[in-house]
Amino acid sequence: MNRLFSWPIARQTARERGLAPPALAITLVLVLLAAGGRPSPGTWSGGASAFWLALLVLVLGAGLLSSEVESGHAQLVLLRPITRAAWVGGRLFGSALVVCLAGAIAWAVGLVAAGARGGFDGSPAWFTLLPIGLLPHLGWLATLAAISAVTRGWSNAALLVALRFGWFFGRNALPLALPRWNLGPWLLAADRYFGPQDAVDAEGIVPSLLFWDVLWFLGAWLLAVLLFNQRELARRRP
Amino acid sequence: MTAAPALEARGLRKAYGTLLAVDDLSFEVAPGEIVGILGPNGAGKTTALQLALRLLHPDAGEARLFGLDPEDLAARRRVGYAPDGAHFPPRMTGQALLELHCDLLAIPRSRAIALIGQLGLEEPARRPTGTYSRGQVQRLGLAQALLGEPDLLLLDEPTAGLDPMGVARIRAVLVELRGRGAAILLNSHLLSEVERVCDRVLFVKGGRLLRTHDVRGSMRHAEVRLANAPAVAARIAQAFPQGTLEGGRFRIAISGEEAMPAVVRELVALGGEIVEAAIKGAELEELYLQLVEGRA
Repeated sequence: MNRLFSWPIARQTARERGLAPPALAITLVLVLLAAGGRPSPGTWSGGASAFWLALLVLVLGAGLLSSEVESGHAQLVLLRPITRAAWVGGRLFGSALVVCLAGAIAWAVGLVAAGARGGFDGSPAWFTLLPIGLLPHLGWLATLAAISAVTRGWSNAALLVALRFGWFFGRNALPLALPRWNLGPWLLAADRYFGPQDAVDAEGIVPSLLFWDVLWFLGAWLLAVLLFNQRELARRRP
Repeated sequence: MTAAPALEARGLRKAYGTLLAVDDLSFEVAPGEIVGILGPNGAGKTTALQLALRLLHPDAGEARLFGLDPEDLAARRRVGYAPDGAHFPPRMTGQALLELHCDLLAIPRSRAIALIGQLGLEEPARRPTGTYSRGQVQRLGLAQALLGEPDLLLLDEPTAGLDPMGVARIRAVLVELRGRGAAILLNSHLLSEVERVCDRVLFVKGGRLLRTHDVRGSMRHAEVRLANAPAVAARIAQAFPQGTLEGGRFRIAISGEEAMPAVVRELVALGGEIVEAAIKGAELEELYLQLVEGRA
């Protein structure tokens, strides 16, 4: 049994979350978008595909830990010889697997479609960019897991959306509302540390951002484990 | 050196805000013993089970499983737990669920198939658990608890929602488990079931242990209904000074089943016309009402 994550839990989570109708529908949209367009380094960091992939992450990460605790299934699973860390890792890994699979399928369809139209040069760089392009999304997934360790139901997804919108509006509105304070540069600098960043730009991979993304993912995972270790597992009777 | 009890709880305490769910609760369950927990709704029975398994963090006190911390993986390998109204992923079939638990226990999946047969789940096991009736959920919950052939089994209302056949199946499983030395802690509202299978009973109210009652060691009663009680009352009173005769029913404490034929023979010899004869249990119901409900 892996101490970092439980493979049976990861497999069950991937099946449970990946085969849920919303996840299947979003994957289908991603595939259709990919078939109609051309894969590029920024496929997962901007535009319609990035939006739908973010939505998939939100659906997969909503109540990732809390729903199992509240349903009472987690208490049965965690009475098995499996650590809480391995369970959290299994839930996260299983969901991440779905994100990667959906991304890879859409990517592959996009490549085949582009090839059929003669718009793909076959450069190996396209394949190395895929996992790097997905990394920020996996970072947000780990963030959802960490929030889910302490919140109820699907509120982790709502909280994350609220945080992101709040930050977005704050970043843009505060410099306009308080021009004398000259907050613009400060907020712009802070923005580089608010969540995972896109490590692929027009000129290629940015190593510092790539490192930040890996750090964010691992940090959020660790936080999820630490927070979940404090949580009581028994389901309260209504 | 004596072996550690399968379950040992010492001074467990748990409060939800101002509500004290469990207060200074201590008890033990030894290998090969079935212990029942009885008490009214809200007495803290389920909380006690959850504290024992560390599904809840106690405010005070501690529980040990086989002398180990409840979160120790070696202890968990030997424990089975079936909660009341267990919830399973609704889209997962019963068989897939049991196979998942087999994988977590690192035991062959054939064990799941065997239990499906033993608990009469052949047909539902192929369906998603979201379509199960209450009784089927209970049986599936018991099946997952039994998967690892546990040395300690904790059951929370295992017979709730079951038909008589299901109740009989569970009773047979419990007796078989006790036979091979497993310790069982049973929380049930069914006094008759508790009386039938348990060795000891813990009476709990307001989160506190009122009394431990030894079911096996306590006296039972022969109860005989007589058609002509008034006519033979004097003779019976002389022959059985410890017995009572009220409303046509003669009652006397006996040590066990083997003493019953002698009582019946003697009553017939005294001229009693016997309509009905039965061995009554250790008066658990009376004890329950007296201790828990406060009735004299």
